[in-house]
Amino acid sequence: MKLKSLSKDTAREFRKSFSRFLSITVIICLGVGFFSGMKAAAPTMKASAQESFDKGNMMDIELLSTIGFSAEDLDKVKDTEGVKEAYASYSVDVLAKLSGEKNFVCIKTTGYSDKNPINRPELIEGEYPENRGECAICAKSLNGYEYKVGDVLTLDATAGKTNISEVLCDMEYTVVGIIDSPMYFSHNYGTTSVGDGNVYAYMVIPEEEFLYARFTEIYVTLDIDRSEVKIYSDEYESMVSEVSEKLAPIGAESIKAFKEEAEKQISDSEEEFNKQKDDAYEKLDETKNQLDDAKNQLSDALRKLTDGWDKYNAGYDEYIEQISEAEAQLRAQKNLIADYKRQLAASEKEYNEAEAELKAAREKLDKGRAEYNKGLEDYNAGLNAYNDGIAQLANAKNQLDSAKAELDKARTALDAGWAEYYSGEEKYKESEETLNAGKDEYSENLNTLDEMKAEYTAGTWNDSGSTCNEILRANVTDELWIILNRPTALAQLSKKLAVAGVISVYEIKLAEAKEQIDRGEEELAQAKSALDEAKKQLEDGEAEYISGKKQYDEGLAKYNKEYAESTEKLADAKVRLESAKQTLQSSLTQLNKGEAEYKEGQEKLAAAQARLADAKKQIADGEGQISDGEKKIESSKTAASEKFDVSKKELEDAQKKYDDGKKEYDEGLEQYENAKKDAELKLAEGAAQIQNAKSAFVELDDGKWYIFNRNDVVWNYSGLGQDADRIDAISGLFPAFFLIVAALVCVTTMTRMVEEQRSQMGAYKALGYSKIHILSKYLKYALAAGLAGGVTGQLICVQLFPGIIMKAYEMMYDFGKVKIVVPWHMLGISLLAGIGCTAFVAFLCCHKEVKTAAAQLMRPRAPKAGKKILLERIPFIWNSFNFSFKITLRNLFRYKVRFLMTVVGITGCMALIVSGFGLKNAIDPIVNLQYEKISDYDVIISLYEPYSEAQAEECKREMTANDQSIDRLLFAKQLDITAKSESVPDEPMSHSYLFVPQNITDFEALQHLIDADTGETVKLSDGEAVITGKMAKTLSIDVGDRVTFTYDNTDYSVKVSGIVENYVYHYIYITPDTYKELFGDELTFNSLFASTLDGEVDSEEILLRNSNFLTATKISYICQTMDENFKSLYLVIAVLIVAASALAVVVLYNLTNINISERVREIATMKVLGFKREETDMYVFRENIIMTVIGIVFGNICGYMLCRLIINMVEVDMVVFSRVIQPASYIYSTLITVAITFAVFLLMKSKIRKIDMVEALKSVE
Amino acid sequence: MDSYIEFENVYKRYRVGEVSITAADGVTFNVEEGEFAVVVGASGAGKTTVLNILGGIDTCDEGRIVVDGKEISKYNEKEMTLYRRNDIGFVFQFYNLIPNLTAKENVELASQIANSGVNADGILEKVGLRDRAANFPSQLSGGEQQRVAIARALSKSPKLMLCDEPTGALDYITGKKILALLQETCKKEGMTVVLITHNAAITPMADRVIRMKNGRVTENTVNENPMDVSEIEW
Repeated sequence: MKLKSLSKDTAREFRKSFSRFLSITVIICLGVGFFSGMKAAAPTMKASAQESFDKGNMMDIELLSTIGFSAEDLDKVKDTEGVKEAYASYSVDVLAKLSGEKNFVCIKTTGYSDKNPINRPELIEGEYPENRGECAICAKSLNGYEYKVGDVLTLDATAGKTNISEVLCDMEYTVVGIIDSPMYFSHNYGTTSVGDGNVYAYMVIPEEEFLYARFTEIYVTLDIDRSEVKIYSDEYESMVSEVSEKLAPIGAESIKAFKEEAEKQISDSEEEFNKQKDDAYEKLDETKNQLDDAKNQLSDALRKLTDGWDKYNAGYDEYIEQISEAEAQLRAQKNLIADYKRQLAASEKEYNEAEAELKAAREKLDKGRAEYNKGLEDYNAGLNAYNDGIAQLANAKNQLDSAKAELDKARTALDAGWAEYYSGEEKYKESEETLNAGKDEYSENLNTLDEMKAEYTAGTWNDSGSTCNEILRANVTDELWIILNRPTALAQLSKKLAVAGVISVYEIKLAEAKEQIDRGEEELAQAKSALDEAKKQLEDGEAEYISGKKQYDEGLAKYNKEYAESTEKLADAKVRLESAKQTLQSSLTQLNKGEAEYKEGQEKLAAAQARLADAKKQIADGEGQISDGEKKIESSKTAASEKFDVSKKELEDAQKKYDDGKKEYDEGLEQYENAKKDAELKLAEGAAQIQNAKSAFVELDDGKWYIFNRNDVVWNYSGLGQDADRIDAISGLFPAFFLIVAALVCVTTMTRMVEEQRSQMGAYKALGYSKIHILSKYLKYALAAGLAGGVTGQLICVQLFPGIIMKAYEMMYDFGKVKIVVPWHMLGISLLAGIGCTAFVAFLCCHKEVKTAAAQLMRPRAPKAGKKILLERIPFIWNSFNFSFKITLRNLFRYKVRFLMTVVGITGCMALIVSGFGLKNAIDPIVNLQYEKISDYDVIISLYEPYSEAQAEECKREMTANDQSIDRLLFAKQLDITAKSESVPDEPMSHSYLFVPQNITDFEALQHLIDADTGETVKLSDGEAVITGKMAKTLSIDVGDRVTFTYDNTDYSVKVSGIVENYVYHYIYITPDTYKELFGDELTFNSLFASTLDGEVDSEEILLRNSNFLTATKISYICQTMDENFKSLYLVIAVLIVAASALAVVVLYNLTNINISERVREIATMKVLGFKREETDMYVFRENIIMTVIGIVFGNICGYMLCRLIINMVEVDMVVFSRVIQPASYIYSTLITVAITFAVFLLMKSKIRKIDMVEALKSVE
Repeated sequence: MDSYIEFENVYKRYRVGEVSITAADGVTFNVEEGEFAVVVGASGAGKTTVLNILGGIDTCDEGRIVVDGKEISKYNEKEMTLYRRNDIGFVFQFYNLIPNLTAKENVELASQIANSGVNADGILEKVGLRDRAANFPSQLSGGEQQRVAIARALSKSPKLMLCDEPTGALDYITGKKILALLQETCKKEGMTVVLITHNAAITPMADRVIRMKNGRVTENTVNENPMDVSEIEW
C-alpha cells in the first residue's frame, strides 16, 4: 500500500512545527550529550593514561633487593609463570647541579640500554645517551628548572651514604637528550633519602656507567592482553598480586644461594690477595735500591755545582751592588742637581716676579706722591679761603660796632637835646601860665576899671557893694575909708575924687600891665618858635638815628646770618681740611713707608741676583761632576761584564751536565713510584673488595627482595585512578539529573503534540488508515527528534567533555595523547533514555488516542474543565487575592503535571547552578583559610643537610642578627609518612606528614592549632599527638584513640590528644620529646619556617644567606600555585553552570510554549475583550513567575544538598574543601534563574503578540 | 450623512500564499443609533470580516469607518484596544468563555477592565443566570454559555454590541431565546446591535437589514415594522 499522502503529511509536520522539533532535539541533545560526555571522561582519563603507560611499556612489577640481583635471578624471574618480560638494570639517586647553580639537588638516575624493552623513556629532543658521560633528562625539574640539550651536570661525590664514584664511572654528564617517562607522568618525581628528601628530576645514563657488580632492580611486565585488561581494574590488580606471590619464594632462595657463594668467594680471594701482595712488595724493594745509588752520585755533583754558582753569584752580586751604589750616588747627585735647577728656576721666577712687583710699587709710589702734592695744594688753598672768611667776618663786626658806638652817641645827644627841649618847654609853659595869669589879672582889672568907670559915670560908685566902693576900701586905709564914707558932701566929693583917682591909677596900671603882657606875649612867641625849632631838630635827629639804627640792625642781622652760614661753612671746611690734612699726613706716612719698602726690595733683589748667579755656577759644576761619574761607571761595567760572562758560561756547562743526570734519575724514580702506586692501588682495591664482600655478607642476614607494583612505585599512579573514579561519580550524578529534567520536558511536549493533532488522527482513522500508520507519523517525528538530539549530543559531548576535564587535570598529570574512550553501553543507555522520552511517550499518547472512536477524535476535545482549587475553600485567603491572581492560581493548578514539571525543571537547573557556585566556594577559601587563619609563616626553607639542635640555634642567631624584618623562626623535622588506624586498617593515608617542631611556643605562634569542632586552641603536649581534621575523619580517629604511622618501613603509634583544623596536607604533630621517645634518636631538623614582620620575603636573597638552605618557598608563591591548580576545576564548574542555564532556558521555553499554544483561544478572547498587551502578557507569565519563584526556593534547598554531595565526592585527598556555600552563590544562582525567566519572557512575548484574534475566533478545530 | 455607524468603501484583502482574496470589496452601509441591525448573507459573503473590522479586531485596507462620530479606521493599535475595551461588546458563535473561570468571573473579567463596567451579579440576573453564577462553563449548557457571553458583553455597557452568528451553535428554541434576549436588550437599553447571520429567516425582527454578497452590500433596508422574535418561525 502506498501511503504517499501520509508521508507527505509527516514530512510537512516536521517543517510546520520545526521549532518544536528543534526544542525536543536540543533538550535531548543536552541531556544525552551531557550524560554521555561526562561518562566518557573517567574511562578516557584511564585509557589515556594506560595508552601512555603501554607506549613506554611500563613495568607491572619492580623488584628491588638489599643485595642486588644476579643474572641467574633474572633468568628465574623470566621463567616465572605469568611474566612476559623481565629486565635487570641499575639505578641510583645522585646529587647533581648545573654549572653556576649553588646547590646539588637529587636526580633519580637509572641505566639506559636500547636492549631494555621496559619503562622506555620517550625521546622528546636530542638523542638517547649511548656514550660515557652522556645523559638524557626529563625537561622539567621540581624547582622549575628546564633542562636543555647541552647542559652539563656535575655530580656530588657522595649522595647520602653512597660514594658515587664507586657507583658511576663519570662525575660529569652532558645532556644529550630530553626524555619523558610514563613513570613520572604526574610532574612529580617522588621522595628520596638523600639531599632534602625530594627528587628534583629524572635522568637516564648508559648502563655501562654503573660500576655495580649486581643489578639493583628488575623490571617485570606481565603476560596480559592489555587491550582487554584495563589498568585500575580488579582483574589487573589480582593478576599482579598473583605473580608477586610467585616471585617471593624465588627471592628467598636467591638470597640464600648468594650468601653461601659469597662466603666461599671471600675466603678464596683473601688468600689470593695476600700472596699477590707479598710478590709485589719484593719487586719494588729491588728497584728502590738501584735508584738510591744514582741519587747519591747526583747529589755530589749537585753540591759542587751549587758551590760554583754560589761563588759566581756572590761575585756578581758584589759587583752589582757596587755599580748600583755608584749609580745610586750619581742618581742622587743628578736628582740634587735637578732639584737645584728646579729651585733655581723657581728662584728666578720669584726674582722676576719680585722685580716686576718692585717696578709696580715704584709706579704706585710716584703716583701717590703726585696725588699727595696735589692734595696738599688743595688743602692750603682751602685753608686760605677759610682764613679770609674769618677776617671778613671780623671786619664786618668792627664796622658794625663803630656804627653802634656812633648810634649810641647820637642817642645820648638826642636824649640831652630832648631833656633841654622838655625843660624849655616847661619854662615856656610856666611863662605862658604867668602870662595867662597876668592876662587874666589884666582882663579882671580891666573889667573892674570898666565897672568902676561905668559906676562912676552912672554915679553908683558910692553904692555899697559896688566895685568902686570895694576897690577903694581895698586901696585906702580904714580911717580914710571912714572919713571918705562920712556922709558929708566933701566926703562925697573926696570920695568922688578918690574914686576918680583910683580910676586913674587903675587906668595907668592897666596900661602898664597891657604893655607887660604884650611883651610877655612877644617873648613867649619867640620862645615858642625857638622850642619848635629845637623840636624839629631833635625830631630830625631822631629820624636820622632811627634810620641809622635800622641800617645797623639790618647790618647786624645780615652779619649774624652771614656769620652763622659762614661759621657752618667754615666749620665744614675746617673739618674737611682737618681730614684732608690727616689723609695727607697718612698718605705721606704710607708714601714714606712705601719708599722705605721699595728701597728694601731693591736691596733684596740685588742680593737675590747675587745668589742666583752663585746657584747657576754650582749647578754647572755639579753637572760636570755627574758626567764624569757616569763615564767612570760605564767603563767599569764593561770591564766587569766581560769577566762575568766567562765564569757564567763555565758554570752553565756544568749545570747542563748535572741536569741531564738528574733527569735520568727522576725518570727512574717516577717509574718506580708509578709501579708502587699501581701496586698499592690494586692492593687497596683488593682489600676494599674483600672488606665490601665481608660487610655485604654481614648484611645478608636481613637481605630481602622487595616486590613492588605500580601503586607502590609510580608516583600518583593510584591518585590518577582515584581522580578518575571521582569524575565518574560526578558524571553519574549530575548528568542523570540533567537527563531526568530533559525527559520530563520531552514527555510534556510530545503529549501536547499528540493532543493537538487529535482531530487529524480522527480524520485518518475515519478514512480507514490503520492504527500503525497513524502512529507511524508521530513515532517517526519523535524518533527523529530523539535520535538526532541524542546522537548530536553524544557526538559533540563525548569529544568535548573528556577533553575539558583532561585539560583540567593536565595541571597534575601528563596524559600524553588523549585517547577518547567511548563508553558504548552508557551511550546506548542514554540514547535509549532519550528515545524513550520522545518516541515511547509519543507511542503511548497516540496509542491511547488511536483507540478512541474516530468520531470522538474529530470532535474537539472539551477544554479542560475549570475546577475550584483547594485554596478557594479557605475564603479569607482566597478573597484577599485580586482577580488576576486568582485566575493565575487556578490556571496553575489546572495543569498540575505541567506545573510540577516546570517547578522540577527550574529546581533542577537552579540546584545545578547553586552546586556549581558552591563548588567554587568550596575551593576558593582553602588558600586563605590555610595561609591566613591556620599558618602564619611567610616562607618555608628546606635544609640541605639536617641541622642538629646546636646548629639550628646558631643559624637562628645569625638570621635574626642579619635581618631585622624576621619575626619568628621555627626549625622542624618533617617526614613523609603513611598514617593508619586500627579502626580502618585498609585505608592508609599515604603522603601525610609527621611534623616535629623544635620549639612549642614558636610552633603555636606560627601554626595555630584550632580545634576543628569547637574552635578552641589545642595544646600539644609530650607523649601525645595532634592530628589534622581530614586525617581523623578518613581514619575514623577520635580524641583518645591511637594513630599509627609508617616511616621507613617501621610502624610507630601514638595517642591522639587533639584534632585540628587544616586545609592543605595532613599532619601528625608531636613534640621533640615525643619524637625522641618514639624514634629513640636525636632530633634533627630538615626545614625552617620563618615569618617576617611585613610579610615580604625575597626567597633568592634568603638562599644566598646560608649555603645549607636548599630551597626557600614563599607562601605567596604557594598560594598562587594552588590558585592556578584550582582554576582547572573552575573550568568544569563553568561548563556545569552554562549547561544548567541552557537547560533551564529550554525547559522554560518549551513549557511556556506549550502553555501558550494550548491557550491561544483564551488569549485571543482576552484580546478581543480589550485586554492591553501587558495585561495579556502577564496573564500568561504570572504563572511562570510563580513557578520560577517556587523553583528558586526549592532549587536553593536542593542545590545546597547536591553541593554537599558533590563536594564529598570530588574532594581531593591532599586538601580539605570548605563546606560553606556563600550567600552570594545563592544570590547569583537566583539571579541567573530570574534572568532566564526574563529571557524566556522576552522570547515568548512576541509569540503572544502574534496571536491573531481573527484566526483564533474563526472556528473551533 | 451622520449615522451612528458609517462604512464607506471599505476594502479588505487577504493574501493566502499566492492567492489574494478580497473579503470586503467596497463595503458601504450605515446603521442608526439604537437599531437592531442584521447583516445577512451566504458563507464567505464577508459578513464576519465586516463585523471584525467594525469590532476593532481586524483592520481594513481602504475606506472609512465611523462609529459614533469617531473614525475608527484611523485608530492605531493602542486606541483600538481601548475601543474594544470600552465601546464594543462581542458575542461569538462558540461563546469563547474562559473555561477556567466561573460564569460570574467570566463576566467580571470584562466588567473589571471597562470604564463603565457594571455589577456582574445584576447582569447575570438580567440574562436569567443568577443561580448559575458560580458554575464553570463546562457545567453550563450551550444556551446558558451564550447567555453568559451576552452578559459578559453587556457588562461593559458598550456603545455597540456585535454578535457573530450567536445562535449558530444552538438549537432552534434556545437560539430563539437568545435572539429574544438580544432584541429585548436592544429595545430596553437602547443599545445598537449588529448581528450577522446566514439565516435570512430572522431578518423580520431587525430594524435594519443589510444584505451582503461577495464582499459587497447589495441591499440596506430599514424595516419599519420589526416583528417580535416569538412571531418568527424558520
